[in-house]
Order: sequence, then C-alpha cells, then structure tokens
Amino acid sequence: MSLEKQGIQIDDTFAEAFPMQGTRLIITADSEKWARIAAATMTGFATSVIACGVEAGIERMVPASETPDGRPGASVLMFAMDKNTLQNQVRDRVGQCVLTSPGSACFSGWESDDTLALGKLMKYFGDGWQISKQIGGKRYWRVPVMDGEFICEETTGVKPDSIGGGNFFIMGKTKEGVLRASERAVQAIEATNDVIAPFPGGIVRSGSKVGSKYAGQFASTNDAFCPTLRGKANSALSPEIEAVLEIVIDGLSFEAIAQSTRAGIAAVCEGGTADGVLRISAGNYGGNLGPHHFHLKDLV
Amino acid sequence: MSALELSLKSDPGQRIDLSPLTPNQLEGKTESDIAKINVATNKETLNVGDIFAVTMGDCSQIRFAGLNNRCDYAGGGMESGSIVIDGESGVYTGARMRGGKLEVTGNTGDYAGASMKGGHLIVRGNVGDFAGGRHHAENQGCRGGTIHIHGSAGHYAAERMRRGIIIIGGDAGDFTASRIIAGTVIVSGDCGRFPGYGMRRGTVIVQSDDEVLPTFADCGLIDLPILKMIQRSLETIDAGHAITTTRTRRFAGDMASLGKGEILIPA
Repeated sequence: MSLEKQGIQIDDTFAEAFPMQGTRLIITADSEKWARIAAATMTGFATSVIACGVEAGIERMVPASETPDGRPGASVLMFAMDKNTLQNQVRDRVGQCVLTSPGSACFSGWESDDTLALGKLMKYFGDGWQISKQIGGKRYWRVPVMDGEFICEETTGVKPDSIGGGNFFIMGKTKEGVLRASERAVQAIEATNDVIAPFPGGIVRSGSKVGSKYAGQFASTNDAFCPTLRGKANSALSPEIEAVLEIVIDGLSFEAIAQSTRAGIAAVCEGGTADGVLRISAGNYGGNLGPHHFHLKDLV
Repeated sequence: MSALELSLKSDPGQRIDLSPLTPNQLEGKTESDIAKINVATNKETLNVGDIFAVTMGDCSQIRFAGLNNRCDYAGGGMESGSIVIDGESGVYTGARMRGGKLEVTGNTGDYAGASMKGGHLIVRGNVGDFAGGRHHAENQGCRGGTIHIHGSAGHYAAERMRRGIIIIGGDAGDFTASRIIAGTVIVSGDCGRFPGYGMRRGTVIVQSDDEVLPTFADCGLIDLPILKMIQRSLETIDAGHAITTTRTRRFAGDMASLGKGEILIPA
C-alpha cells in the first residue's frame, strides 16, 4: 500500500543496502580552496565499487578551528567491500592526490583500534628524510616535499560495520523537474553527518541491476526504470513518467543513512508536484542480498 | 573530600625519600598506615609520622607543605592522581613518574622528571640540572608526558630524552637537549651553549642561533604547520604561548650524530 505526501506517491518498498568497510580522512591545506581541490581529486572516479574499487566523497568542509593543524579542511568518507581493498585505495588516492596537492596534510577522521596504514606508508616517499612527531599520543609523519612538509597521521581508523547502497528513486514528468528535485535532495543530504552521496553531484542517472545478458558484465541498466522501455512487460513506470533519477547514499551507520534518506525525501516532497515529481521508490533485490533494509514508509 | 595533607613539622636531619607517598601507593591506607611508612635514606628509621603532621584526606590528591631541598623523590614513580608541593623540593622530583599531575609551586633540585614515562610535571619556580634527563641506571631520559618549567633550568635539561614535551619558560643552561633520541624541547628564554649537542632526532626550539653548533645544517626559513599542532596540544596544559609562530628558521642535525633532528628558531 503506497503512501502519498504533498501529492507525491511513496512506494511501499525498501532500499536494500550492504555492509562495507569505511573510513574518514581529514584533508587540510593553506586555504579552503586547496583543501577542497585535494579532497575532490582524491574522491574522483569513486562513484561505485563496481569498477572504482571504492566509493568516496566529501562529507563536509571542516573549519580551521576543528582540524588538527588549524587550517581549513575537508572531511572525506571512503567505503570499500573489504579492508584490503580499502587499504589499497587509501594508499593510492592519498599518495597520488593528496600528497601531490599544494600545502596539503592528511589526518585520520575516525578513531578505532582497527586501523589502516596512512602515514605509515606515505613516509616512504621521504626516501629516508622523513621524520615523525608524536603529539597527544598520536604519531604524525613529516615528509619533505617541494613546498615544505607533507604531514600525515600514521594510521586511520576503520568502521567495519559501515553501510553502502542506501538509495531512493525520484520519478516525474520531465527530466528538468526531476533533476531540480534531486538537487534539493542532495543539498539536504549534504547537511547530514556521516554520509556521502558518491555519484556525480550526488545523483545517478544510470541505475543498475545485478548481472547482464553479456558474460563478464557485472551490472547493467535497470531497464524496469528506463522511460524509453515503458512499453515492455517488466517496466515499473507508468506512461506519464519520463525521467527517473536515483540518489545513492553510503554511511558510517544505519541511523546515518536513515536520517539522510529521510532528509532527502522530505526535500523532494517539499516542492510538491510543482516540478512534475510524481513518485518516489527505492531499489532492492527482493531482500535476499543485503541485510540492511530502509523502508520508505518509515522514513516519511 | 579534601586532599591528604603532609606538612613537614621538623628537620629530618637527613635526606628523605618521598617516593612511597604517591596516590597509587597510598590508596586504601589508613592514617596510621601512612604514619608508619619509612622515608629514611640512611640506616636510621624515619617514619612519616615522626616528621610530618598528617591530615587525612583523599589519597588520590596529596599536598606537601614545608618541604626543603633535602626532600627527594617527591612524586617519584607516581602513576595517577595529583600531588601539589607547596614550596620547594629536592632532587628527583617526579622522577620515573608514569601518570597523574605533579605541581611544585617553588624551586626543585636536579633530575626533576628524570626518565619519566607519562603524566604532567609542572614546576612554577626553577629546576636544577638534568631536568627530564636520565635517571641513574637508565639509558634514556624523559620517555613520555610533559614537563612544564615556568622558571629556568640548569645544564643538561632533557639529556638523552626519548619522547614527550619539555617546556622551559625561562632560561636554560648548557647542553640542553644533548644527545636526545627524540621528543620536543622548547626554551622560551635564553639558552646556554650547544643546544641539541649530539641529538639524533627530535625538535629543539630556542630563540637564538648564537650557540648552535656548526654541526647543524642551516636550512633557512620555512613555514611548519606541525608547530601549530604542537601549540594546540600545549594549549591543553596552558602552555600554548610557548609557540608563537609557525614560521621558523630550521637547523637540521646534529650531523655529527644521526642528523634527523632539528633546532628551530622562531622568525
């Protein structure tokens, strides 16, 4: 039995999400501009574990008063399917995108006994000239670079019970209207903590299903939600729906994803049907694959 | 509950060892138990009750009053709680301490905080030689924690230090931070001859390059954000003012040793 809010149909369904390994890094620089550039570079090509290895994004910008070195920073969340992959991705992305960025430094943003090597690996770039400093019980590596020093905390904590794949679909009469509603949803999600929406601008236009008719293709287009295929037998779309966009959310906890989904849906519904939004749904695999279920009826 | 107060009522006639009087060792003891503790350093027995007026209180907070420079090892080896020494104390004050907070409102003797491993030692007055240095029979000096000396320090402060932070608000003597293995030493006043002599790693902050040895390589002026991090950690112990700028002149050395240390002079 579907619900209705502000004239928008909310399907009685749920988003099915999966356990992931997550971590948070704090990247700082001499200015907010360069902290953002380093963080954005590091989280580029990190939309989906299907082919990127990791899902990552900027959680929020961090004021200088809250960062370890008193400079403007960005909080980055990274999620992978297993710890080994997460470790390799942290190593490669910090090494190639943060270490290289002017004036940058990199710190752990998650306290845990379960850790990933951070500065412990970056120090080798110092070729023997690196030095460490213990401050407040934590070890930081100081690697000489051409604009001074790259400071990097020895390790970062892992959140082993993180969750990836929270989602909801926004469906409407026009592509433009659905995009406007989706942008409102992303803006609301960005204001919540402990989550990222890793896709471009936080929005997915190519929602996928598991598998394909082609061997070796792990994921393929979610044909049931493609408006060009509305006439097909398995279409989930009514004739008046011309566009569907998906918001995917990864988070450090079930509560964080639930809260951000609630905020996103509320932001869509606030606009009512003015943007032509007709329906909100969510993606799942029948509840058999992912242990975390976010029922939309509980989130509106 | 108020603090346990131990007030020296007569001259002990010998140096005394106060290391048994720490919060962790007095926990659960009664006033009569405490009065029977021997603090002598020669073959005569000298119990706490013989020389101290004991006012029973919370044993996790101890206040000494009336001590002199022959009262040694105050807070030695303490692991928790707090000790306040109202006035001066002798040698080895806070030596080998592992935790807790020890505050001396006056001056203290040599080897203050020697080979300490943790905790926070505050000396409002001056300290003698080897503050934060090596305790006898130890290979290393301070191995953790913080020592904040508001006054001046004698020679060989932080000698052979391994870890931790030592802040000297006044002047420091010769060979400050000599042969340190690592750690951070800040001298806000004038520093004597040859700071960082033979240092392997670590950071020594002094205000002038006058006495820096020629075995340190002048790396010029640079902005070091790590100093901001150290300053922030010092703010938690009300010592943030010890670092005034992140812009500094850096000398790498001691090149006659491992050479991975640095002497920094604020610009």
